[in-house]
Amino acid sequence: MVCEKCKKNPASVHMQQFTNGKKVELHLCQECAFKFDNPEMLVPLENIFKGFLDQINSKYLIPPGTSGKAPVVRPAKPCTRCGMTFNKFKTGGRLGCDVCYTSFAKEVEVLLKNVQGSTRHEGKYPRRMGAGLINKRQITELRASQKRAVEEENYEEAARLRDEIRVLEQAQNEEDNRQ
Amino acid sequence: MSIPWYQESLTDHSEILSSRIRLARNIKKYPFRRKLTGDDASAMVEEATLAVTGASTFFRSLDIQSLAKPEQNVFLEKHIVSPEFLNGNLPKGLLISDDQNVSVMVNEEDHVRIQAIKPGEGLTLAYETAGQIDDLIEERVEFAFHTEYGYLTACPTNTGTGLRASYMIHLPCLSKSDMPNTILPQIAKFGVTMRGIYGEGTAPMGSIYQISNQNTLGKSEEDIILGLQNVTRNVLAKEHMARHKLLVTQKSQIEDTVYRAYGILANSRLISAKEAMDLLSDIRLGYITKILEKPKPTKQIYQIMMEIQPGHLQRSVGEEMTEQERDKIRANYLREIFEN
Repeated sequence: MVCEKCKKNPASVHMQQFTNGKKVELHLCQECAFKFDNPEMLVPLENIFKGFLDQINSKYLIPPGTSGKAPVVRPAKPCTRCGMTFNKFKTGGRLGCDVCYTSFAKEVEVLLKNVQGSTRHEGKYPRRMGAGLINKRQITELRASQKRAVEEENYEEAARLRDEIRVLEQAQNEEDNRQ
Repeated sequence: MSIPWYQESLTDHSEILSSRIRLARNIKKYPFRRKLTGDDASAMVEEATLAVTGASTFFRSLDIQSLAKPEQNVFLEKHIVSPEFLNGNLPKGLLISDDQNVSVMVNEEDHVRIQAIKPGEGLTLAYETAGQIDDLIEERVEFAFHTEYGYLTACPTNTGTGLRASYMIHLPCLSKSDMPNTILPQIAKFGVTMRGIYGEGTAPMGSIYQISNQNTLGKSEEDIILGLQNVTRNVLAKEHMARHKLLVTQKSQIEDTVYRAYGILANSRLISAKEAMDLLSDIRLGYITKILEKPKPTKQIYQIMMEIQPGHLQRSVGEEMTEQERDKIRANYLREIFEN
C-alpha cells in the first residue's frame, strides 16, 4: 500500500480517528505520519466538511418549491472583503478573512452547527470590546435564568435575578448615555 | 530560572506527561493567511511580532527559517512548532520564552497561535498563562471577533474560543489491548478525541497519546477544560483497571516484558525509533508498577523518548546521517543511560 498523502513512500503507519462518531482511516508513511502531529490536521478538512457542505447545498442553495424540477443553484456571492468564493472555501477548507463569516453567513451557520454543534460563542471576550458588550451579554444570560426560575416556580431566585438585571441595565443605560 | 517542562523532576509514575493550551487568533486588520500576500504578510508578521515582544519581555524572537533542518525538527519534535508552520517560504515569526514553555507562532494557519505547556496535570495553569499573553497582545492589536461566533479563525473548526486543550498521556496497559480504539467513540460523545502521537491505530509508538477537545464553540474555555479533564480522568481510570487486571492475571508476563525491555535497551547495538519507544514505554510501566526500581535514569523516560527522535539525534551528532547510522547512535545513547 502506498502512502495516501505523498503517494510515494510505502504506507507503514495506519491511523484511525473518530470524528463526530465517524471512523476515518489513514494509511501513511512514517514521514507523513509525523507531519500529522496536530489533531486538527489528522483528517483532511475537505473530508470533514464534505458531508456538511453538501447539506448546505441542499438546504440553502436550492430554492424551496423547486422539488421535482432541476435544482437551480444560486451560489453565494464572493466575499466583499477578500473576494473568496464559497466554492474555493469548499475545496481548501480555509476562509479568506473575517468578513467571509458574514459574506457566507447562511453557509457558515449550518457548517458551525454541524462541525461544532453550536453557533454561539460562550467564552472569552476581548477586553477592548468594552464593558458594554459584556454587560449586554450578561443581561441576556440573566434573563434566561430568570425565565427558568419562574418556570421552576423558584420565585425567590427569580426576584434576586430581576434585581441583578436592574442594576446591570442601569449601568448599561448610563454607559449608552455617555457615548 | 525555570526549565523546560520535560526536564522538571516529575516522577515517572504519572500517566499525564504534559498539559498544553493553544489559542488561535487573527488580527482584524489583515485577511487570513490564504488571502494574505506580499507586503501585507510581512507587515502582519512585523506588527504581530512587535505586539508579542511589546506584551512581555518574556519572549525572544527566533528566526526559525535560518536554522538548519535538524534544528527545525527539534522544535517540531518538542511540539513547539507545527509542520505546517515550517513548510513554505511565507514570512513567519516564532516568539519563545527562555524555558520554551510558552511560545507564539506568527503566520501559521492563523496569524497568532499562542501555546503554553506545563508538565504533568497543569491544564488550568497553562490556560492562565496563555490567557494572560492573549490579553497583553490584545492591548496592542485588534483581533477578529464576532459577537455570535467569538474569535474568528481561518478554519471554522477553531472558531469561538480558538482553544485547543490537550494532555499527552501514557497508556501502556490499555495499549496492550484494543481498548484505545473502543474508547474513541465513547469520548467522541463528549467532544473529545484521542490519538497516538505518531504510530499505528491500535498501538502507537511508546503508547503515548494526545487527548484533546474537538469543539471550540458553544462552551466557555473553563467548561472545555473541565470537560477534557473529566474525560481524561475516566480514560486514566480505565488504564488503572487494565493495569490492575494485568498485574493480577499476567504478573509474570509483565515482569518478563519489563526486564526484557531493560535488557535490550542496555545492550542493543542498532535500534529503530519505534522499537526504542515501545521498550521505553515498557520500562516506564516497570517504574509505575514498581516491578523495576533501578536503574532509574536521572532524565524522565518521556524526555529520553524525545531525544531519540531523528531531529534530536541528528542535532547531537551534527552531520547528516542515514537511517542505519541513526539507529546506531540511538542504541549507543540508550546503552549509556541503561547500562549501569
